Amino acid sequence: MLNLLRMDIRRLFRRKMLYVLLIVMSAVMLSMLCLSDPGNLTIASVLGVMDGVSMDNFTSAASGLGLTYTLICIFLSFIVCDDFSTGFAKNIFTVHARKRDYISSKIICTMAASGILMLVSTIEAVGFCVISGIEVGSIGGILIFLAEKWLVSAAFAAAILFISLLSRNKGIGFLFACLLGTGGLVMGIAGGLEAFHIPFVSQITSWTIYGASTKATLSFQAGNLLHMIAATVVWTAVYSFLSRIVLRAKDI
Amino acid sequence: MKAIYTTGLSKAYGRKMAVDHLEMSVPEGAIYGFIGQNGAGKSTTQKLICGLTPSTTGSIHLFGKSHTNAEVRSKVGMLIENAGLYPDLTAQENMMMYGLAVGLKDINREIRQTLELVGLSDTGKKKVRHFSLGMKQRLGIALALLGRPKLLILDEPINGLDPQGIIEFREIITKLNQKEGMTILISSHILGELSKIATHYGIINHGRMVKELSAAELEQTCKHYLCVKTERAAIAAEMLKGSIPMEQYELVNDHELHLFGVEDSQNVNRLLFEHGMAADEIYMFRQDLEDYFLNLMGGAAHA
Repeated sequence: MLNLLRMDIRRLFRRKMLYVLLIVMSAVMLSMLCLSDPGNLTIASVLGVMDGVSMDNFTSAASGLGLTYTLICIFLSFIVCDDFSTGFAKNIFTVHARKRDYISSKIICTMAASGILMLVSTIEAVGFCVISGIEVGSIGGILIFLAEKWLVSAAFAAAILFISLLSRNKGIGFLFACLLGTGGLVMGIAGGLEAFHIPFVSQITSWTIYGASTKATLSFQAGNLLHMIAATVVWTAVYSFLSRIVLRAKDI
Repeated sequence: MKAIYTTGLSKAYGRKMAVDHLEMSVPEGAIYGFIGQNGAGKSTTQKLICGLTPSTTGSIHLFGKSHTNAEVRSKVGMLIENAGLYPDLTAQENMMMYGLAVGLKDINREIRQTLELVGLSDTGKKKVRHFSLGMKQRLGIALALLGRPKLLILDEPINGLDPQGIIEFREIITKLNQKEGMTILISSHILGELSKIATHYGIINHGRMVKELSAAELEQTCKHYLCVKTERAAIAAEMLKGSIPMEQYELVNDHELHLFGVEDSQNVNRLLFEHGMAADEIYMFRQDLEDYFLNLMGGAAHA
């Protein structure tokens, strides 16, 4: 697995995609912040801290660290689709009989990309707050928020990896990256369930990947952290298992 | 030990059997020519061996271990269908990616040596997307050779290569086989080229192994005969049968006669002349791999 990870990490830094995503993320984030009224902004809103799954949070999900999920999902989807469309996957799977090596390597590599994007995003957000005179608050709290958000990116990576392996289509990968990353899919399902007056919708959706990501806050809360860890571990394991099934069942 | 050994290997796509209970046995250290018509199941078999497609039934063993064994699979190199390359990277970078994936230790030296071996050491910063088909094929071969695998699986490797490239490829394969003991499985439609390097052959048709034999067995099996074309072939056959030693003869038609175990065409010509028969043509026919394959397939098939 380490050999594959070395390859993926080299690819991460040698290709333009990561740097393009950094520029896109910075441009979207800074333009949204510049268009906002600084008087109505707080460090929480700048970073995209949310309070559960709801349509009110859609803007937050598409900004701050929430945007990173969408971008890393697009990143991973494109990388996986490239592996198969170029035929390089044949080289990889000929010498790597264990399919889990490929899955683990891709998830870890995506977490590395996610870490870089989130770190840059956080630095930009804090910088904006300092320049705009918005109170930054506790750096420790920001780091906790960053770590919690980063943790959940493993589950996002596992989910989009499964979809990409299943479809091997960049268009579908892009679509699902947007739906997963922004929480559009979960919010749509939650809206549907609420329309039918089904109880405990917010409790149910909080256990989705996106729902768990909204639990991250600027202060340490053990319950929230455990919730996020549990949801991340379970969803990562489920999607990794499904990815293995797809890799075993489909021709490479 | 067998480098590749399959039993009852099958692969179905819907109702169609691409590979049908294939029994294949490739000795270690062999250059195994894998021959078959288009759609016979050659590429699918090679993909099955490399673990790139799941089998419907049957088993595959590589060097005595299941082909799903991670250790044994790390010693396999392959080029199947097209060379799997990242088009936006250079030859060097593609090799680096694969070298890292394989876990090579002295990676830069290995890459340099392998690129030199296939004649791609001076491509510089040229991206693979700008390579010709032949260059891509050379790079695909280089990738397959990186890390010096114990088993090399090549599907139509000389497609796109120029004549010089084909000769170089033949030399590389022979050298790797003889000096490093590498087992090589090659499928190719260019049977003349294959017969120059193969030590063993496997002929597949409709997903089934029709025949496996060594090059020595093929040489013994292939029929060489003296073809005599004359006006009265039947009379000539009777006359020659009593005049010269021969294994057997075959009267093809009224004008054509095949003499087996006879090589002295001058003597045959003289005997015909002495008996008042004129020979229109006398020549030695040596059956080669292509003729053998066509005979086995039952006529004018294409490999």
